[in-house]
Amino acid sequence: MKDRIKLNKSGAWRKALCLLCILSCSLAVFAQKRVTGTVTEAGGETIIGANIIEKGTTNGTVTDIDGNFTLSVSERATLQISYVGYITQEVSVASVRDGGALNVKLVEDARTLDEVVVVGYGTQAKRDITGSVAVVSAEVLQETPVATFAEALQGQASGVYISSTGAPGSPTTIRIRGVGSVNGSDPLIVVDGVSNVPIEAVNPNDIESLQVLKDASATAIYGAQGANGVIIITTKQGSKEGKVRIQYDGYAGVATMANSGYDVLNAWEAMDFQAKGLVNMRDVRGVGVGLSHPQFGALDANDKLTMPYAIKPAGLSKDQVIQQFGSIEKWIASYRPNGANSWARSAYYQMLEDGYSEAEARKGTDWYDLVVQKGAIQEHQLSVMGGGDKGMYSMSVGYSSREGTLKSSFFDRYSLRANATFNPTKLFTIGQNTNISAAEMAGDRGAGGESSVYAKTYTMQSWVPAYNVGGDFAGSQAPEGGRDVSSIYVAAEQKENRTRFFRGQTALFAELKPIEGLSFRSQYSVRLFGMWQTEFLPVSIMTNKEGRSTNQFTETAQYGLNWQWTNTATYARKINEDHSVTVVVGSEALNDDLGRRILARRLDYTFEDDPNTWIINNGSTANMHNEGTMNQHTSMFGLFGRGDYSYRGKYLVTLTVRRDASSKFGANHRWGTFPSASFGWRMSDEKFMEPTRQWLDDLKFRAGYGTTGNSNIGAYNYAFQYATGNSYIYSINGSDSEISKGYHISNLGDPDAKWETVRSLNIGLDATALNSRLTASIEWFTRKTTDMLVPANWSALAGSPTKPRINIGDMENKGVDISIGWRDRVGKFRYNITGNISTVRNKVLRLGSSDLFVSTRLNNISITTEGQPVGMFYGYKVLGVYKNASEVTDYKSNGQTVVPYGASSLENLDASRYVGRYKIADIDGNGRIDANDRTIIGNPNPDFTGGLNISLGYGNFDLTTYLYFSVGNDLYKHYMFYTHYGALQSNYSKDRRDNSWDPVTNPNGKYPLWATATQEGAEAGNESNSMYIDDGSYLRMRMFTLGYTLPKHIVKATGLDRIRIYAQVSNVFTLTRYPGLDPEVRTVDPDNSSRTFDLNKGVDFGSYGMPRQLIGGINVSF
Amino acid sequence: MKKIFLFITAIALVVGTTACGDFLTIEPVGAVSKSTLMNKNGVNMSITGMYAKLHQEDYFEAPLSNYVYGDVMGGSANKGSNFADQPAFTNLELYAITTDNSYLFRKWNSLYDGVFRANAVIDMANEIKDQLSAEQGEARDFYTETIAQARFFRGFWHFEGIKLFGAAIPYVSDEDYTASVNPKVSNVDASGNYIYIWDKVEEDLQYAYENLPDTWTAEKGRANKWAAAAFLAKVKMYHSSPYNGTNATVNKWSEVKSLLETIIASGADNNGTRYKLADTYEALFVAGESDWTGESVFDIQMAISGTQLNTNVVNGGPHISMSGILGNSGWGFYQPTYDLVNSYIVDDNGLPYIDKSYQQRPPLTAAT
Repeated sequence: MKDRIKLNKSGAWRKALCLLCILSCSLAVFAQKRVTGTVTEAGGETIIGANIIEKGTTNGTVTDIDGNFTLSVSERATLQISYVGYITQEVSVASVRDGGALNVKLVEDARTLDEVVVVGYGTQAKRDITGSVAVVSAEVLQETPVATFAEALQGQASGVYISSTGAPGSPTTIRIRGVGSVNGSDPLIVVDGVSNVPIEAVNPNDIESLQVLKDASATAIYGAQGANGVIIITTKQGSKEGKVRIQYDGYAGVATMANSGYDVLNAWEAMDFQAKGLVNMRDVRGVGVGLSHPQFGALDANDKLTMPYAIKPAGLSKDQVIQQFGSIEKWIASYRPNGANSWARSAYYQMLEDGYSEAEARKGTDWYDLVVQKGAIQEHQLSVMGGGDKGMYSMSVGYSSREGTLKSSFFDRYSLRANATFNPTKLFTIGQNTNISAAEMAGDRGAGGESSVYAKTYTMQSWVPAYNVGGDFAGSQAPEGGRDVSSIYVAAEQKENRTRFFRGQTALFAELKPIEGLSFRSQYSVRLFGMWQTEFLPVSIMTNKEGRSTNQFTETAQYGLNWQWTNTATYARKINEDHSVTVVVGSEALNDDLGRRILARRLDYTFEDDPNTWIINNGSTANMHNEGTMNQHTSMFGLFGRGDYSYRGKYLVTLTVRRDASSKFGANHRWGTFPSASFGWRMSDEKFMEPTRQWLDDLKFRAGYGTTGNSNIGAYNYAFQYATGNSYIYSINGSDSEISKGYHISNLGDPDAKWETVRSLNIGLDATALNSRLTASIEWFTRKTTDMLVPANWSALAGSPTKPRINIGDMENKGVDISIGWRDRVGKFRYNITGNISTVRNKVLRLGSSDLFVSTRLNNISITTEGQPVGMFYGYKVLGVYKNASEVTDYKSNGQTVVPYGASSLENLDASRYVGRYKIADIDGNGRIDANDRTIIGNPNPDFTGGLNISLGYGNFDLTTYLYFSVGNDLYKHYMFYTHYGALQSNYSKDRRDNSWDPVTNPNGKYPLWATATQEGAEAGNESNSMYIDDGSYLRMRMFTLGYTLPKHIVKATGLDRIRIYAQVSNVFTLTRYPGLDPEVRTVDPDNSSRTFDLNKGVDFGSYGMPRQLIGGINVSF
Repeated sequence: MKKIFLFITAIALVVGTTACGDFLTIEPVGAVSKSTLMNKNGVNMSITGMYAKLHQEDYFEAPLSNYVYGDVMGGSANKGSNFADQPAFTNLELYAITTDNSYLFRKWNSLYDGVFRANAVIDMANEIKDQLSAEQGEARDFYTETIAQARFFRGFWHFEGIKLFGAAIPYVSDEDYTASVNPKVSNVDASGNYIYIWDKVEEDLQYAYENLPDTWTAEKGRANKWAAAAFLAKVKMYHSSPYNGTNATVNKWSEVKSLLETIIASGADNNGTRYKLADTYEALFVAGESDWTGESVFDIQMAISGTQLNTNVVNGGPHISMSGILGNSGWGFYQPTYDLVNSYIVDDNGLPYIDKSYQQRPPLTAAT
């Protein structure tokens, strides 16, 4: 306008024209017209709730349920049409007449640069983030049919390693950028600002956003809790739109086993295998005596064994039973469930008796088949969301019910969430977030180990019947039948052994915004935890190994209470468009685990089969057992601050600092300070990048360095504790019935122990290109843990009390995270492919003077030692099998024959005895195989892991699939201890039978010569060795979903808003060479199965294989 | 605006540093600290805790019966069960002993825990010596009797170590204990020669012999003067053995003789029963009769009170009592060897084959 006036200065007529012009202009400004229109997405579906704003004004509206809008605007206005997830469009109405229609098609926004990300104690625009933050979309979490968000997280974010099991509602291990400490490296989980919320308490459907803070510049604001990364979750909060939105999501389906067991020998095969063992003993080993098996007797003329009629008494034929007992009836009549007289037929004869065919009966009992099942799964969720100017609310109720693929295992959860926010005035907000969940579970929890149901499928022989002649569960009372009780027995026993959890969490918050840009927020939250457990163990037949002569009932109850109080002040300000500053300061107090636990156990319940009588009072007054403990109460206090500065979005700086104190340390070492700094440089905004703007939308370089802390140790590590109890009582007065209580040192403390400090450096590059179709991010990081708290390596001279953890270790993790995505649409076809790949190298730099080992029945199977990653597999290195005596004497180191394992000296060496046995590497070169020859035999850590998400859409159809891979990790096939070396009379696998070395029939066999009457020992069966190690790499299609959204016009007719139906298969296929049940193995602390453990990672000890789930589901909203 | 932040920070800091002292001090739950026990009663309970070490939770590896290292390694018993069950035990039986055999490790740990408990008692008593010295004990002041009991056990546990590992093992004194929570005591001297601990063990037991009461009238479970004397004599006898590990000859036989004569002349258990052989051999194995027979110089006191307690079961009980020969249950460890059984074969004159020729005879499978 100014210019025109200038131009028109030249002449009077022009002045007049100018006046006219101005007049008409202002007329134009004031002229209004009514525009109506419809907003649709590219596929033609209408968009509800899209914002229509007249540019430069506050005039606007939203589209209605049919995507229509009406707005009065000025004559030449420009409309801005926006909707979350779509690119905002500007449309001029100049060409639209008054009352005319305007149809707008919004294009989905591939860019998420304007996305707001929740970070520690605040939010940041995603494009301004300088640290390492991965955002996982809530849809992805909800699309994976699992009970916890952690299971769904696998492969979804680079640098995040998830390990889970097939148990319903399985516990999950989360590791962010490697293992940061030998003390456990679980990340901090923060839900709506509440710390340490348990994974299984969160209903994945309630999640609105999930972000993973990976590097120290992002987590340093969590100070002492931030060392292992932070997962921040926010839940759905309702909206201000004034609309009530009701949604139902549900699915139902079935879970089946995705594998077929351990491929063990059936009854007849087992007998033939024993025969082969005796033949080899005689022919190869030249043994003349002891050539018989307690059950199958001696070899006959054809070198065959005989299946006995009775296996208890051992090895009797039918005639022998009749001879001994008079008749079969009398034999059965003399049955007693006492072990000694608990007679059993062999499975073969029992099954013939029960009407099975000859072929079936010869197979004997399939212990695996007896305990697997098809599990029913269903999940339902109903949510209501809405609100207005004065408040918002969001409520949901959820029910999840999952049966496992093993009998008796299930997980049920009822959850309720209620979030509400009120705005009494413009300056003041008050609200609450509440979540309550109750869960019940039973059965195998995927912890593995010898007593797991899986392990029981191979530790019992196939020729042992499921039931003995008295109808009781048959078990190991038959000699050589196997260890302890059978799989079906354990599954039956687990049925009524329930664990019930109650978890309630409520957070009250108030926020005051006294002036523009400034806000104060205070949040107080309480978490309540309750656990009830009942376990009834019926009488089991006393066996030749173990058993219970009386039933027992145990009831446990525990509660826990935690509170947290967080106060923050935030100030955000923009100074003349160029400088943008945000500052947050705050304080936080945490009080953890006030609570107690009691346990009572009683024996001898009269009515064993009636659960109604299973109460403590009904047990015997003899042999009562009671326990009561307090939870490990701790507290923590922290002060923190963060400053974000941005210069035109081009230069970004974030500085944080936190000062934390924890009650776990002595008074002089409580406080730790954890600073961080990070910088971002939006290169694409620089002038020199101008030539690339054609194709490169955004390019940002980031670098951050910071310090975090870890205090993942016992609550009272600092303290010397004197305790009483079983270890300290004595009958000091010499009486036979009185005990005096003693007190003695139970725990040695280290008052000088301090924080583990983690320093991490993160360098990253983010790019968006080709019209936001391509997104890519690459990050390199290094994380160094210093002063790692390691169990004190004190000698026996320090006594046996529990030793503290002391600051004597260092550890390092280095790695690269890459993620890349491509999304586009071609006509009605739209697709989105994102992939990520991560690698991390862990190394223990310092560990005091002693290595850390993990042992099972096998000694020292995992080692954590300096210069190596944590938890390497450890044992003897098998070079092969000695094929003849000269191979034994020819194996030399330093010119001297190596004395084989277990031989006392070269002089006494009978080389022929070692033929067919493992040839073990003389690692230390001292000329004999001894404990010093054990070495690192495998690495459980993958070279890299990653995920690939593909989603395709065509019209109303959508298809999503998701693959996960892990490459280069070894697994320790601990089950081989049983299936290959027959420990504890267990069954053998076909692999062992078919691949054992034999001088004639299998000269290249990899396992030792099979020459034994029952089982074998020595180096093969008794020591950890490299034959246990196998490559555990795999690629798995975790999920495949096909969905269909019903056309709008059909849905409208029903009065609803949206209906989508879908079918889904999970664990579709797995590509792997791993011979075990499932290459996804999660290991737990052998001493505490509820604790995740890194020191024996990758040990496959009867793990609960991932099920294959087939489900159908529906999403309805109105 | 900056002022506001400074203000908030100041408040936070003030609140933080003043209120936090208490908030952040949390005493261990379910336990007490040393200061709580620094009185006669507390020291007495620590003494009880020291006696409790006689019961072993490591019943596989470290029972005082030492049957693993004695009967099994000596050939009187087989390990039993099967090869893969307790592999470290198997390795001991086969003498395929590696440097990290867990049985030896646990036994070693256990006996030094005994030493540790004794030193902890001495340390506590020394800290409040005056207070304890003023208290009357059984025969002397409470302090002296406390030290005497602790030194009895310090000697006892070191001797237990000598029996299995030889006399050149570290001797941990109460000074070592007090100086460091992780005592570093060498078993070699500056010139690299072994330090033999016979004398120190004898000193401990000598002190106990001189300061323990003749009998404990009320608390009969405690070690008395005569128990200390008997152990002292035993240690001196071992010390005088040509196999004492020192490659040096020591002759204490005359000391031992006179000490043993004194014990025979005056020794009695806490019930006042003079040391003698039990009236019947059977009585030693009968519940209720086996106590205070006079045949035992020092008893590990068992008591049945409640369930699942260390005091209820014989050392290594779960291990031994459930063995296969006794019934249908049990793990089947600790089975007698034919060597042991056959040693009961006698010749026509009813005499044993002391030339060990019984080993060549067919296995004895039934009593004859």
